[in-house]
Amino acid sequence: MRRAIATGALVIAAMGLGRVINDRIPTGDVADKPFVHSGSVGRAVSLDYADVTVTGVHVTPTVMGNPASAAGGRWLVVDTQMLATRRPTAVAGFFLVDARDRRWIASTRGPECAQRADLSTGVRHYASVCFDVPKKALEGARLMVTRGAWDSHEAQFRRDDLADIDLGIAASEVERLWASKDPVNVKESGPVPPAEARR
Amino acid sequence: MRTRPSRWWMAAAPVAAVAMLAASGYRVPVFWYQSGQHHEIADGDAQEWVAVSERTSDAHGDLTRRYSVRLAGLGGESTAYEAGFGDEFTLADGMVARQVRLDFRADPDQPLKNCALTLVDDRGREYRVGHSFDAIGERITNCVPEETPGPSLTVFPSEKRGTLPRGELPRPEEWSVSPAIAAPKDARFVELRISFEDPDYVTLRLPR
Repeated sequence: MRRAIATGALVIAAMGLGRVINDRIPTGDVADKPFVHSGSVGRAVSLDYADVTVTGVHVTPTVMGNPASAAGGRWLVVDTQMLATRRPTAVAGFFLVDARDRRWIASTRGPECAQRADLSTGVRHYASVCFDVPKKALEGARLMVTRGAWDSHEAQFRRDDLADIDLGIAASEVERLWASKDPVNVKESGPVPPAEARR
Repeated sequence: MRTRPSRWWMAAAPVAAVAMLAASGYRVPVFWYQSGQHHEIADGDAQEWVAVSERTSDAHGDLTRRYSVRLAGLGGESTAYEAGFGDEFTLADGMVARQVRLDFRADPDQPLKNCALTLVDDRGREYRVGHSFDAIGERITNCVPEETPGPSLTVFPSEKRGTLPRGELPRPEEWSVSPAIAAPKDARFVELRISFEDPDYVTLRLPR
């Protein structure tokens, strides 16, 4: 009888311990969080698999002045330069996070706007990523670059390196950027520097 | 009569552990083994003929791809390289188009288009051309003659294995190619890998 009580107490204690581990210890944070490398415009962020640099940030109502590519809000166009350091790498995730942690995926609508980049080792790759965003998303917006495709649960880049690059848009600049009507010419992504690209 | 405490769990515990690992183990082949070069099917040194037979499959079922290959050497220091769609661009940052001189022997009915070539240097860095994820460089005829590349793997059961497009001559029994891989001018390469399909690859070692 005493033995049965002891066994029962042990089982209940073990289940209680399991519950404490599940509820109180942040296992999800440890198991799923990517390794975030922060950066800013013009500075290369070194990831495990590639170096990523944001070289320019533009806000415009149309890409290439083409009315068919008019934004719902404004286009936030981010020019990037990437260099795979060790092996050929597919970068499948570009997304934007604003100051209030709302997220946008890269748009497929702007001509020549990139949604992914296939990098050859050692060959510099130039790509512009376009986001169609509302006014309130501009302040404090950051670009995320990952190998995994974007999804709301971050499961595609769990335990992987991720670049988190502040685009440097201050609250005081939002009005001026939003009012700007100049179209932005987005060049074809690839190994040719945008200044020399023919299309 | 006193009953002995149950001991069946001592045998069951390792069985349960193995069953648990097996149940979640499908992730290893899917996310790791089959998604990269992890199975060396043949190897040899430069200047040496290496016979390869590779298990693969097409629309009709399993087949074996057979060929022999010899790595004659590396060459080329040009900075002109092929961007997508046949456009040319100039390599920067100390990169050059390194030519890989290969000799092949195979029956004309063997499907040898779409091979990927990877140069590995002494620091473990990999430079590749011809894989479906490679955006620059030649994509289809890295291992075969450009004008007479031979047959493709069949995609539909209505296609006959080994047939050529109308007007295309059969591939010779023996030929040479020299595809180019974008690689640093000063890198010291230790091996070349030939791969038609992950995870299988062939290693050809370069002299140190």
